[in-house]
Amino acid sequence: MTSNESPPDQAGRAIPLEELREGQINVRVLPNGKKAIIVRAGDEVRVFGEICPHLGADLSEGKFCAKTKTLQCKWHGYIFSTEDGRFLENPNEVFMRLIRVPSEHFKPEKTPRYRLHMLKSSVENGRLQIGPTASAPAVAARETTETTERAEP
Amino acid sequence: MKHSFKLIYELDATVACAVAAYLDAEHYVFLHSKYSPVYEAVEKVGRRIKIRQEWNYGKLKVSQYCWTEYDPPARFLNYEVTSSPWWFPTIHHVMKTRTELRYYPTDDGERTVSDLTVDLEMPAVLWPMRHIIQDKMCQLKKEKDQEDMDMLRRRDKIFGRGNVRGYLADHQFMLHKDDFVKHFGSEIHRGSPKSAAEVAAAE
Repeated sequence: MTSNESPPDQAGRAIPLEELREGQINVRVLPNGKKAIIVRAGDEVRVFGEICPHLGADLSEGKFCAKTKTLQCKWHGYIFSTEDGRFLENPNEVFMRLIRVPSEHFKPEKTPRYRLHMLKSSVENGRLQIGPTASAPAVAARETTETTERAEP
Repeated sequence: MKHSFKLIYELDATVACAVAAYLDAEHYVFLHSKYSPVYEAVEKVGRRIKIRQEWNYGKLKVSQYCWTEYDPPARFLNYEVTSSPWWFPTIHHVMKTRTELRYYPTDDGERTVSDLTVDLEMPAVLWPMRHIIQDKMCQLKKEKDQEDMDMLRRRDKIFGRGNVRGYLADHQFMLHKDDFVKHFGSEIHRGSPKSAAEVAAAE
């Protein structure tokens, strides 16, 4: 896994794809001051918001594995798919299996279906545009409007 | 020979947040990954949990076992530290370590005093090194607290000062959670009512 980050970029500028390093987390600062997490595999680009849907960690400090196409959060090690943002695994379920037993206030069956927040983006003429001004569908267009789902209590 | 020392300083967090971070065991091997790649619960007896940590030295895996105990609302003990395999030379074969950490609020209730007492029982041969051992232990405690504080400050910034709602959620695992909720559940009103997922979705 790698966790190298590219430096924050000029806000709002369309980003040439060649500036995005493959196999690593690329970070760009958006006009609203929030960071966009960008991962690239060839012409496929995925753009996520910086906030981990679990407890709020900065995902730009996480680890990206290009082989498995996953992003691991730095705080609690939760692993998400960078293909569609789905939560895949909580490694602590193994480490803590002895004591992860349901109790009055711990109800693991209510764990939300966490999902990374994918930001609207598009790729045109070899340049990535992030945000509401993104026009043409990005390579990952089907994910651009997904939001986090929560299990019903 | 016995050597004891204290390490006291303030944490810029409410007691509820400081305790939540301590009991939030899921972050130990990730946020504090440079200290131990494995942190596994291997036995539980009431509020006592036996923990196994593991380090790799080449192909050799060395484990350290330690009992941890929670005394609600904000007192934490660590003791009976042992190593495995038995023949691997570690200081715990010859030195007994016991730590007691207490958190209590500052006068305004907005910050936490971290009060650590360490009791070491060591052979005479280690006595001249007691201050080196002390300095190393203090350094380790401060480094881990700094990493925790970075986490808590970010959570304060996103969710509001003193927000423990994420830890109180039904699905969120933490050590001794029922005790935590009993003592700190009333703090759920502090900060934003939004979850991290909801805040993320609003980006």
